Amino acid sequence: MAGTREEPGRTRLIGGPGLLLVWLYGVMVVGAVSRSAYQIATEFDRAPLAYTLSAVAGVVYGFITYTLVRGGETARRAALVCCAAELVGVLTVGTWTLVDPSAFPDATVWSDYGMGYLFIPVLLPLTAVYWLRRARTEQPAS
Amino acid sequence: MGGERLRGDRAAAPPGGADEEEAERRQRRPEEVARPVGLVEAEATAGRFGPAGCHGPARPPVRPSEAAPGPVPAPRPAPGAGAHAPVRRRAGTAGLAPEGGWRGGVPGAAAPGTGSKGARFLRRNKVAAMLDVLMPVTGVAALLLAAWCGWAAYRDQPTKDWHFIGMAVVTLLALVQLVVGIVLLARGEEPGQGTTIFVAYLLGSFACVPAAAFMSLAERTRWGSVTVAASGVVLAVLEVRLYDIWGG
Repeated sequence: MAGTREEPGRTRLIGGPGLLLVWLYGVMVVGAVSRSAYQIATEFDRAPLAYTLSAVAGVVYGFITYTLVRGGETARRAALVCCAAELVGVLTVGTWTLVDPSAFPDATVWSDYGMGYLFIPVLLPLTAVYWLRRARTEQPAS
Repeated sequence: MGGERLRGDRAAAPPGGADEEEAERRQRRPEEVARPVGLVEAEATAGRFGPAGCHGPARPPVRPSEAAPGPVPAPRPAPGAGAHAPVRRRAGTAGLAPEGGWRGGVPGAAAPGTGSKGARFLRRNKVAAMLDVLMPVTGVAALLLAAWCGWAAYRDQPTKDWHFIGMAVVTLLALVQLVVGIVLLARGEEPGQGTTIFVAYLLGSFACVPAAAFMSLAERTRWGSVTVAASGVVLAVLEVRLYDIWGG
């Protein structure tokens, strides 16, 4: 721990609330990646769009988790961009699944704004953006 | 009704030739039925074939949910006999049928001790029943852990030794569940929604709490407690899904 904290110039992003974020993102990575991998491997033809979107979600979650764990200003910015992209993705896909259910014979991770995952997919980027912005404002002080 | 017509056809049909083949095909039909998802459906599926000795569906296949609002007629033939035996047996191995025979079936027909087969069936059902108990127990324990750690977080405290003992207990439950699940799979049981998903969820529910526990070891603030509480909630959700996956 001490090593991470004393490292100069690299904002630690997994301290405090960041830890909870990393854990939840980790859960989403496991959920989305394993789910899409299984579905693409076994029944891709049933709902190609839905499974591809799940895989994309998994990759985005994986990248955000990595940047959060790594820490630092660049990672923080990258994570911010990805969280914004994730939020846009959740809202787009969520609306899409509601407007045109026929395009989705099976659910994606982001279907109905992530209802199958307790709405974590839509709440997570909001919290993460809030946390990442606060991490910047705190940095000069530390 | 179609059933009477079928029976009439069969009675009138001369033995041998294409009719023999047709009769054999119908005899096999119960075996081709997809695995029933529940006791009610298993019963309805068995009932669809009419009384034992009548081969082929008496009615077009309907799930009970589709047949609503009328009740699904489900004749109850003697256990272990007739053309529907395979369907009922499958319901039995899936832990859907109660031990000792079919609901309301002939008493004592499949009672324990009527041979090694019956005993084996009962033993297998006991392991399946163990999983049925373990899933809700683990889920409730996970929720209790979540509440406990949530309380610690509310009081601005990190996780302490007692919390870690609690996490160990929940992890132990999940481990036992994992072992029982694998034993059931090794005995040839098949989860309703597929073996791969079942195993993935078993592993996930085992790893869930320990992962958060290690993270809270490093984070000696209230946020460590929050993370463990979140892991408890996630585990409870996993248990609900696991229950669905197992039951079909």
